[in-house]
Amino acid sequence: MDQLASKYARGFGISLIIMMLFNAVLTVAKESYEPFIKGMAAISGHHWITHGIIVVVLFFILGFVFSGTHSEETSCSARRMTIGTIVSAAIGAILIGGFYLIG
Amino acid sequence: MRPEVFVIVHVVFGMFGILAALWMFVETLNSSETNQKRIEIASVILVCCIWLSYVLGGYYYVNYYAASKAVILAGPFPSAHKFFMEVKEHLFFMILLLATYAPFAVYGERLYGNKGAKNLVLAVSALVVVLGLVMDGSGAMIIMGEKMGLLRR
Repeated sequence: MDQLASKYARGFGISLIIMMLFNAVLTVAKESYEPFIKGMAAISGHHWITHGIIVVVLFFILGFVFSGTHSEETSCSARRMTIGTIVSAAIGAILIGGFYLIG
Repeated sequence: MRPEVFVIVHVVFGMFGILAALWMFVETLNSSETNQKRIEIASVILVCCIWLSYVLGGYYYVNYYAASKAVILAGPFPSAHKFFMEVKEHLFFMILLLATYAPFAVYGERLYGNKGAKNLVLAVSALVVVLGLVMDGSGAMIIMGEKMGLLRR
């Protein structure tokens, strides 16, 4: 058996994979473009607070959206979900670590 | 309340979160009908600890870290902020997401009868442990940077 039984495990799993990558891209984008980080800081008083709100809120929105959608795209196997999670975490960590190492 | 208390409690909950993830990993590795409930409890403790660590550490970072940052940047080990703190504050969101996902991956799944779901939970908990240890190491470097900055004054 390789399918996830829970629609939330599926939906939020896809959201997790997307958001870990998005978090890294958002980090690089805001640190590379000053008006962007200033704009984020202006929203909540600190860019890191805005960053956290964006990441968490999007994670839940995408999670519920994907949980409610059952199609070929969202019915991926647990094996693919596991690989996706590991790869996404690795790419996210390398992007963030690499960016600050070079920068 | 002294601001340092927030850092200490942030670290304590972070460590409890890592331990909960490790507990979840070991229980999942030996998953059976009898320990499904324990895996669910571990996932809830994990998400609670990581969120508490995030909120308390974040409160300190936003309100009090600026003074420490100035000391670190003026000291002999500025990478403590420029690399370790920057990586820590952004990598932490990945742990937060992984920990928040843990209960979704555990509840509604019979891990003892589904190898795919079991491997997914193993991967999520292992990633929390590994990234959590990276956070711990980075925290030690930040404190080292501040200490070196203060000693130079």
